[in-house]
Amino acid sequence: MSGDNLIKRAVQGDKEAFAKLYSQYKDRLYRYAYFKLGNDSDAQDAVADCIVCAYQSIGTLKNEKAFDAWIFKILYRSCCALVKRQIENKGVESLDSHKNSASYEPCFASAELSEALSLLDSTDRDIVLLSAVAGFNSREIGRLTGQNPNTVRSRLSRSLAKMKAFLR
Amino acid sequence: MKNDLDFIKDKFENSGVKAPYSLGEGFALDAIKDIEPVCEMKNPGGRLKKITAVAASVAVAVSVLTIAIILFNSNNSAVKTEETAQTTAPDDNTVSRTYDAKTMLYHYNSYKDICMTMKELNDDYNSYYEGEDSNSADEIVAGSSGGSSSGSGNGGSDYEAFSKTYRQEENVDEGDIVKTDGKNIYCADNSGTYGTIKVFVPNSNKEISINIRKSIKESINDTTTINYLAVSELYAGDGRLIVICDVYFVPDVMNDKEVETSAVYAVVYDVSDINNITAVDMMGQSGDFTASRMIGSKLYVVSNYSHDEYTDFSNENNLIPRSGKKGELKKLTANKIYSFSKAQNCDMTVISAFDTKYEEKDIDTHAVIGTANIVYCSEKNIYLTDCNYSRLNSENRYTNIVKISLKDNLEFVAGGTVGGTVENQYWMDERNGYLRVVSLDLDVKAEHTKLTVLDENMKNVGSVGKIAKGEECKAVRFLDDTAYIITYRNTDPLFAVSLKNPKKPKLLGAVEISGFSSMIVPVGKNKVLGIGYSESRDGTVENKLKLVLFDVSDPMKPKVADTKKINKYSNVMDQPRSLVYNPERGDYIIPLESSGEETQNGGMLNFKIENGKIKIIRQYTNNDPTLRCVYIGDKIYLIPDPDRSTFQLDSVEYK
Repeated sequence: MSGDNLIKRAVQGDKEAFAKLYSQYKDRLYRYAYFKLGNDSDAQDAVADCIVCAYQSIGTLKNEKAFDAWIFKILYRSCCALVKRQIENKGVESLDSHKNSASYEPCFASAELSEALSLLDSTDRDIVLLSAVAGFNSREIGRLTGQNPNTVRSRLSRSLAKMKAFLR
Repeated sequence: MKNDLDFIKDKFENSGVKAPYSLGEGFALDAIKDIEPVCEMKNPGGRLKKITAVAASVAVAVSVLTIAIILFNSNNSAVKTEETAQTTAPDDNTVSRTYDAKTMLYHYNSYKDICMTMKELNDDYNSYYEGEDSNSADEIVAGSSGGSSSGSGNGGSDYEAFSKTYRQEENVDEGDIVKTDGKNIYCADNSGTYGTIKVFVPNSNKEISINIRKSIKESINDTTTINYLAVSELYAGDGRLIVICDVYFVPDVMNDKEVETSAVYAVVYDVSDINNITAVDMMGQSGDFTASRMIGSKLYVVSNYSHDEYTDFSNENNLIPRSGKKGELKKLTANKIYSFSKAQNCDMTVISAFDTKYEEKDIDTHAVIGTANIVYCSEKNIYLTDCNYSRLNSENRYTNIVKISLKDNLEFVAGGTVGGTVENQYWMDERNGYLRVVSLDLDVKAEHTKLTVLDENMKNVGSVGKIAKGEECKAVRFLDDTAYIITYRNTDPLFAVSLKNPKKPKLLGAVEISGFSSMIVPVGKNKVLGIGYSESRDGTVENKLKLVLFDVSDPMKPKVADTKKINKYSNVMDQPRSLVYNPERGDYIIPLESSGEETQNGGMLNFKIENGKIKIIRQYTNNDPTLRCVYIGDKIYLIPDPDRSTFQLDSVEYK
């Protein structure tokens, strides 16, 4: 069955269609969460949360062709919510200090790539993942993260060049 | 050669990181087996996003309409009824608006009609982009940069000579991330969440930090949290420092707040006493910063107020831009909002004129529905362009250009259209009332460059097309009656186009060279300098600086007089404002940094054109990637990238 039909059926609440549709995106969704959160366990939690949120809110998907961007926005928020919960549980004083810290737990798999990501601060890392894995353009990233699209554009190009120089 | 984004994308795709078996289709079915979709969107944190009730929105629309009519009646001056032929929008039965044929803009009387127009455009935009790869659009914008103009000056009797930001028009100042007033060096530092200004005082080795966030917070006297602040551009002179920044009050995805508000603020600081820097004035307007210019003490700020599929188009509070002084931002009246005749999306371009010298003067703000990415400003007029890069694959591309007179207040005086897209401020130039515009057009499959001449009423009076078929336009420079155009794909041709007769522009000649220049600088009477990228022997573009001196004494046969390749990258290859020209010495200074194949370093290059050749005066290397250079008297200061250094100033003797 084509992706378009699956989306149509999923929007009408068809659970099997939704699960099949998710299955087409699962690797990219997991990959985004894995590199954003730095480990398998958190990535699985975020994807699971995303599945539930996406299905619950499937009725709000206005433009069926924009399913891709829509589900990644939900995953982005799931990841942010997970980080926030972890901070609250650990009793970290301020969210800002976490957001600005350069700490990044390198992923177990694909060590070279996660090492390249660890060269970036958390904002730049977010921008690279939203662009290279989630497929957003700089305007969309700006809207999602609260930054000027021009700033996103320049940060992205600098970050990509930095990573490329490391990986080459 | 793969670009950086494709290279990194491939790395992720081939990273081997895939969803484990436990996260398969069965898991998804299991996870949702006991839940049902709800009409409202549920956020990960558990709060429900409000969807405005129909009844409420109708009530709001009715009350707003009433307010709008009152406002319009009390301040009705924008729509020119006498001089222009007016027609009602032919294909529109619902939105009430008036078409002004002279400016090619629609005018409005009510917020309701503005909101309806924006909703229609948003629906059209969404249907157009169904299924399109969302990454394609913005990268093109990021790619090219054009020519440049010069500016350098003497700070007056109290000061030594010092550098000024390179300008396209001699008397129109352009903002930059680094400025000097001959006494201090002001640098934007966006390395943290809240951008600041670092002031270096070379005479006393003093460093002062200006907390812009604090200045704005004090002025707006609001409990709103500033989430993010980024300095976009600075201006300095006459004992004043003007800081233009983007301020984001939300969104806080961590706290499920999804309504985001961003605004551009320009804060005026009195820096006459460096030990007592005070904020003396401030203006703000909705949107993200696009561009600014300054003529005398008047600052012109352009921003893009964008909307997306989450915007509630029935609520004018989400759609009507605001502006004001001292942090008090008020909604623009409906009669100050227009729409491009064929606006390509529902974003709004907001433009304000702000006199930075007179606190008592109010600002003048207008907005146009449509995205003006490229702004060109002459001494008399500012031009906003509405060209949508996302539709680059469409063959019938065009750019709407609106001309705004800067005589007193901002006055929208004329509008015109050129085929193709305008991608850089240097692609436009005003001379003797004519606007000359270079655009990139798409003919069936091949790109080609086009030059159009518009008269003072923005009517198309002459054009020359199909310049460099299949090539991409990289740099443009208008010098008097000649346009120089550099394109790139296989070679780097420099074209000369005569504009002596504006109604009959004529392609004169071309010369080819490897690599491509991203900016063109006039050098004396018969020479132009191309600054840009070099090319390796196998034909791939390198991230290394190349200077090419063209002899254009015979425009029919331009010649390459000299070339110099520097084994470094320079910010000037992408940012024309990084070029420093010293008119007294007749030499140039450009910042340098490693090209990516070596250990990080920085530096500067000082060179001049002498006897038809490029003469390197000095090449200096230090440790931190250099973003900008400025000179004060006999010293050159190197300003590093705050994101990649400890942000300490380095200086060398200006030999």
